[in-house]
Amino acid sequence: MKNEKDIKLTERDFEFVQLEEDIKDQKFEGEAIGFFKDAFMRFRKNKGSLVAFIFIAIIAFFSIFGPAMNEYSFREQNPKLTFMPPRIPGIEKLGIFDGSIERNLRKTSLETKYKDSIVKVVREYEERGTEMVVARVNMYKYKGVEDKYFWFGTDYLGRDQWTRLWRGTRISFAIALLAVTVNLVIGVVYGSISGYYGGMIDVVMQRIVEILISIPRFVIIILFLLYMGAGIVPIALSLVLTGWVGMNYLIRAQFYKYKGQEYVLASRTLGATDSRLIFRHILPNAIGPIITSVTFAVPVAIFSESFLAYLGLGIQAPEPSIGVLLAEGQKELLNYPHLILFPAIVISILMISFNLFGNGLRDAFDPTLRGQE
Amino acid sequence: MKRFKKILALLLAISMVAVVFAGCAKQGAKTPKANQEEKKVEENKEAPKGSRVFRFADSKVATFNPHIYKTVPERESMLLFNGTLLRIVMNEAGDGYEIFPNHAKAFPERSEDGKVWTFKIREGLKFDDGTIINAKTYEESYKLLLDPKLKNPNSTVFYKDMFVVNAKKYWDGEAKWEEVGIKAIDDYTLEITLESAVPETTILDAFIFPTTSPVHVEMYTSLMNEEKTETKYGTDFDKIPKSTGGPYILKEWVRDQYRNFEKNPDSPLASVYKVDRVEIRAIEDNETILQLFEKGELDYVKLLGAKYDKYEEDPRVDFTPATTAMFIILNTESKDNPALQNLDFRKALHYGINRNVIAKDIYRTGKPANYYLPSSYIADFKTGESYRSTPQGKEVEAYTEVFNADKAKEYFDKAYKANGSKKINFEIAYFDTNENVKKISEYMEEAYENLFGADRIDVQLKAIPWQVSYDNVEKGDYQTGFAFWSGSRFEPWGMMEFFISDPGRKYNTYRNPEFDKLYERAKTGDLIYDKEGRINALRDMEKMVMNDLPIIPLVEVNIPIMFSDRVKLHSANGKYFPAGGLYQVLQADIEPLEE
Repeated sequence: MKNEKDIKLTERDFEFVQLEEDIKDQKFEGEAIGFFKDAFMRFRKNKGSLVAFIFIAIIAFFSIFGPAMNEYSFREQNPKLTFMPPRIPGIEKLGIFDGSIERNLRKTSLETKYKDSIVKVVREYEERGTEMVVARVNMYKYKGVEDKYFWFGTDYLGRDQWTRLWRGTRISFAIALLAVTVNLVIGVVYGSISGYYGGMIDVVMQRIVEILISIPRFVIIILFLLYMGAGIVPIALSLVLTGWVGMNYLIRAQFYKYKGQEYVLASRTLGATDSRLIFRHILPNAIGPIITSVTFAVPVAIFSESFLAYLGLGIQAPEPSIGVLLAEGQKELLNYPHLILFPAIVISILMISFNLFGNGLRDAFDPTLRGQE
Repeated sequence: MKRFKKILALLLAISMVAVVFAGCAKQGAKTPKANQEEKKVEENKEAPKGSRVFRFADSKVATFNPHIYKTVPERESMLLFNGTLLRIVMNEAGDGYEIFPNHAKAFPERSEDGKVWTFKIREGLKFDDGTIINAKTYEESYKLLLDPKLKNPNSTVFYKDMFVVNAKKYWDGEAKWEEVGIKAIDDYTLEITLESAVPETTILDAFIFPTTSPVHVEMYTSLMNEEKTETKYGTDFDKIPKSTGGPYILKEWVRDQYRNFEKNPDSPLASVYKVDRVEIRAIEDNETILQLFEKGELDYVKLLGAKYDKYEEDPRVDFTPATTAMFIILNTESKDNPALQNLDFRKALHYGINRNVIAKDIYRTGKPANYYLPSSYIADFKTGESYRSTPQGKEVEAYTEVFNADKAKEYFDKAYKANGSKKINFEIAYFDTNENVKKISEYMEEAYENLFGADRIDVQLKAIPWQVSYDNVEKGDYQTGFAFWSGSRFEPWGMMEFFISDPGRKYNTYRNPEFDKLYERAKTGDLIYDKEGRINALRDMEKMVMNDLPIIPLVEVNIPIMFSDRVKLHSANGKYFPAGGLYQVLQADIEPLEE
């Protein structure tokens, strides 16, 4: 106890550690990471999505510049050069895409009609007493157009498939983007209103949606197209008819999740209007899911367009689209497989790439995965 | 990281290829399915191997009721097991056809004025259940065909193709059956009385088709509904007599899969037709049919469009002449495009299209047509001479050209001036479901714009379903419409009904009293028994049409076909010619299927 009294501190016992400097908070090391930046960083780590994105970019590039890469236009016809097989300079020396095709010929024509255009004789056989051969014929030599190169061959009117394919891709893209954008706008507005106000408004609006989706989708689409006629805008609109419903559900769910939170209440207390609450405070939370579902919607729209083209409800001739090209190619599948090969490759890459890309985006925007890697 | 990328690229590539193959598999998949069907057929077969069987593929059928059927596949199948009064068969020399009196004893006798036709009917004809077929059966069948309550659509044969006394009135419910000019005089004599005389071809035409074959009256009426406005006759295997005295007996019919027939030894045609068994499979995909033919499972195939390319040099390929011509209807009263009212513009369109390209490069096996009636139409049914090979037919062919760019430009210049030197907007409506129509429309667009200059004519293509297109044409709300018109090969005059002022349903804008008069004369007037006069009338009518161009004929299509090696055609040159549908083949020697 005594000791306590003995201790006396005077001013002199203390000494200023730093008098010259200001005390500041410690600075963060590294830079601040926002929502998008974080998403982008995580997306970059997902190599699959990155490759998919590159594929999409390449196809988009060709769909813009591809049609201008050779001298043919998408509607220029060469009736004498119908169904020409693909012939690509350089690669033709390898024996593929060299403009040749298998034909069943009479043996006697080998030396006459087809004299200089036979690449090789595959086999010989006899048909009703006539000697026949299966031979690969170079159609470019046979038709006397050795100076011409149709990279992806020609179709039933002798139109260049390369040009038509990329122009078709462009149109398919246009349809898909148009349809998805309109879906997005309608779905977001409808879902926001329904989710934000809730109650009776929500009940009525969602019952309307349920009535809409209870009608088989393709039945409405086909009827709509029969009435409107084919074309980029009618096809895109037909995909909108019920296409926005998914977006509506997504947005509505987001609103139910966020509208009761404190920060919304705070903002409301401060006098924010409904539209400000909807578009400034709640909707931005949904930006990740929106982008992801848009990415998934694009291939679905492209696929639907192809499906409609198969039913004969494709785009107006002579415009091509991937679906139209596939439908045309399928008719000559066994005789002229090149007609279906290239559009099939493009649509397949598009499908897979968009799905991988969409997966990557979904993971990137998923806040629960934040900081795990 | 690089390695991972590579693997992924490879993965992408593999999945890509897989999808391509999946695409192929879709096509190929039909074949195994068809195989299963085939196996099923084989299980059902009573004598699958070693029999002289003719196998082919055709479209699905909806009904075997002769009074309401619509399609060609239905007709072809029904001709197998339905008896008709007359039949067309190949003659013995194998170089033409002849009329075979089937249920009739001979071609009907005609009265002096051509209004009364009397059939003598063979004795001993019967249904597969033993019910006798005689003149009474025929009368009752026709009574049912014209029944005012059933309103059978095929009944027009008795009041539109020919005018049987009071037939229309009975159909409308305004006359009694006793007043109608169809009478069984006795058991084996059938008399048909007409309001106006008709030529032999009309009679021939009416009595070779299933519409006028007898029906099993008892079965027919027992399958009616209570109000007697409908009958289920012919809708199912159990609801149809397996033979109505026809050359074959319906053995099996599984809807949308197959229908099999076996020879009827009691038929008058038994000695003519040599094939023992006919098997028809319901397949509609041409690619599948071709695959099955190549595998030896079918004996007959059509090579449509580019499928011909591969077989161009094949010795098996044969041709069947076209019964259908393709043409485009122009609205000469168009309000959207007043230029179409101008004959010069229509002539420019007529001369400006290179029909050779359409026939050879697009259709492969077509024949350019600058005339209305295709080559298979017959001018003289007794000799079988084709109208197109008569001097009159050739005259029309030489009347205009199949293509003349200079003339077309000249006419177009005139039409362009008449249009006030303004760009002409010309719309071509095509059917989006018909490949060839689409191809030809696309070709026409390019050809016209290149020839006349895209600054002077703008050709727009518009895809519409064919039903809508025909509706629009009927309403007069169109610029153009594609059409394939076909009728009876023995009665080309009937085809001219298309152009008369009031044919009931009018699918063009051509109206010419002179034409109407000539048509009347050739169909029911003073020309009906004047052979040359009738052919001249045909020529004059065709020329009138070509003068005014309410239509532009484009192409007639000869279809390349192949028969399997088992089929030994009996014709003089070993080639196929369509005597009566595909039924020349039934007279061929067919090697038995290998054991």
